[in-house]
Amino acid sequence: MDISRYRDLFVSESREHLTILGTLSMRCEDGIADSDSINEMFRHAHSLKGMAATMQLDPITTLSHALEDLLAQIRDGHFNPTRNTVDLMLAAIDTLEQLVALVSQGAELPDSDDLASRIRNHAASVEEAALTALNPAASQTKPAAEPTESLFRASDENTTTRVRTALLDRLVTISGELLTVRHTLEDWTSRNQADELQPPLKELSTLLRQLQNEVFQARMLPFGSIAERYPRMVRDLARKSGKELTFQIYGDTIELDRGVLEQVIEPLVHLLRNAVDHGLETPAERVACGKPPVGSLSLSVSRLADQVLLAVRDDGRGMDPARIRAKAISQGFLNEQQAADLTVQEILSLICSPGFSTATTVTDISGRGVGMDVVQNAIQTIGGTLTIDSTPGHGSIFTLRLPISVAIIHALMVTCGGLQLAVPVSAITSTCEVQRNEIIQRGRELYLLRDGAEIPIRNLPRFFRQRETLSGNAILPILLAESNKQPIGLLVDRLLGQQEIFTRPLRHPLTDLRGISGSCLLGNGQIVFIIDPTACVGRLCTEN
Amino acid sequence: MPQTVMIVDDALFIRTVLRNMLEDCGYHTIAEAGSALEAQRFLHTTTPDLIFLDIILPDANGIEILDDIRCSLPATKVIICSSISQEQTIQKALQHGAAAYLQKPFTQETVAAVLRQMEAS
Repeated sequence: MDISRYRDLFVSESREHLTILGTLSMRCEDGIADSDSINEMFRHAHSLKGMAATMQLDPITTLSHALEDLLAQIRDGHFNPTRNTVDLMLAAIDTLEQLVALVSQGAELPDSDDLASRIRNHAASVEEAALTALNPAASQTKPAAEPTESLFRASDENTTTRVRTALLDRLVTISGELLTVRHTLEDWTSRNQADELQPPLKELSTLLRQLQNEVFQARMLPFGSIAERYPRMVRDLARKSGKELTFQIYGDTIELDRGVLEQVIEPLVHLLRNAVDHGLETPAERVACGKPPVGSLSLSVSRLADQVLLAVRDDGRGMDPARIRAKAISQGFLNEQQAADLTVQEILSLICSPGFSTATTVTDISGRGVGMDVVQNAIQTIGGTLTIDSTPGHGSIFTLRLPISVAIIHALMVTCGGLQLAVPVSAITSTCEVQRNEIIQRGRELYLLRDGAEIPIRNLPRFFRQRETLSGNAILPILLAESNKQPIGLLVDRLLGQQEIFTRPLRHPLTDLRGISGSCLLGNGQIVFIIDPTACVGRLCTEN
Repeated sequence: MPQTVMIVDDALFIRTVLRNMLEDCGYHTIAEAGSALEAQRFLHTTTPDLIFLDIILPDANGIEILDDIRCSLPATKVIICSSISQEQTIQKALQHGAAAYLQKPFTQETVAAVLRQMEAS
């Protein structure tokens, strides 16, 4: 049998089993493992064994079989797990994880007989000890189980180890703090013209960059590590709602920071659920409008520079901008005049307004909006954006644009009045300096004339209620960005240059500040706010 | 018309491998279930010709739900598919009305052999 075509499926599903086994083993150690947990562990070990046997991966089959038997003996009450038992279980799980990693790389597997026989001996000896427990002298003569050791030598290239996420978080924090210290040193060095410090400072910078890269690499996980839950969920939802569909996940090997991944699990659940429940039609409805009875739903992951795009795409009924507009007006979200000015993109994003769809029972669109404000907030919290494309009758695409990692970013420093602000480089498309006469004013709105188009401009100093300094400037610096696929401009006082910054999330009540997504600490101890350009612009965002 | 099959196994991997093997033999998998509950829900509305049923399921023992399936769908043949190789378990499965016992790990050949056996019976 050609088993290689099943390799990815085997690897992802095995990892799922091993993750659960790992978690439940810890429970044994904490003494809170009940018979249900043991039974569940047994089942996962058993499934893994069956899968590995089908793949003809003997080392994994042997080891998971030994683990399965050990769990069966515990389940059947032959003995209670000791600390040594748990050590052996964890050693087996770690080794199985290493073996599965080797499978994913297509590498040869070392045999696992030694660890498997240690597990079997342990079971035999503990069971015997339990039987002779009435005679303490006899049980004391039993040697304790050997301390566990990895199946692999330390020199093996593919050794892996479990590291708690909290530890990785601390490493990120420390490397971020080091970055701040480096800026302090740089500041001091240039102010005091201490040239002899320049070479070691340069070396420090190189080393810090390497350290950061390694720390961030350690936090990266493939998208597939969270994606396994979705096909099953989608299938269940489809069955429940009487929909027929095919569901595909593309690009699940693309890696993201585990912090970002954790934050997108729920928003994606929401988007997929909305797509099945409200986006896709029933087979009969589809046939009636000339579509194939089976709908199509996909979740695709792609990489774009230092961002990752996640797109949930369905070929269902789509959303009708006219109806959304009418509903927004009837619910008092905006008046006729405001609504007339909106682009299709802006209208579609109205479904992300809090409370937009809960007030009526227009099922086809109301459902699409339920909780979309929560989705959008979750995405914005990690520095991402959500865009919606939809064609009535043809389907919708919800695109999440996410940073690959969250903590250290490239930012452009700007000043607005007396305020220094950091703008994530990933959030802007370019910068330019324009003559005053390239900017026109219409009512209260400013527009930049560019290649025959009028780009709406937001006066950032005014937005942040800073003293306006524009009047004196002949040349005006502008940051260009995109909001809902439309170009927008942000007028600032000065561009100060790019810098790597270590971002820190804001806490309540600072989280309520519009346009501010986080903060960072500069080398001189100054706190600088990080702005989210898309939150500062758009005609939906009024200046009061 | 190709024979229709339902696969009940908690491992997506096993279901995928088996489905492909069955397709290679000209069988059409109309349903897959990861648990007994899912399987039972599906069987309310559809009657496959064959069911490949795992023993160790998250919410039940496959052999224990065999009686139910046989009772509600007498024309459907159920093949127990498990890595348990104890003779006692195999006998129990057959006593409860399993049409065959497919030992895991299965191969294209062992799957084809079971299908031939079903066609002959």
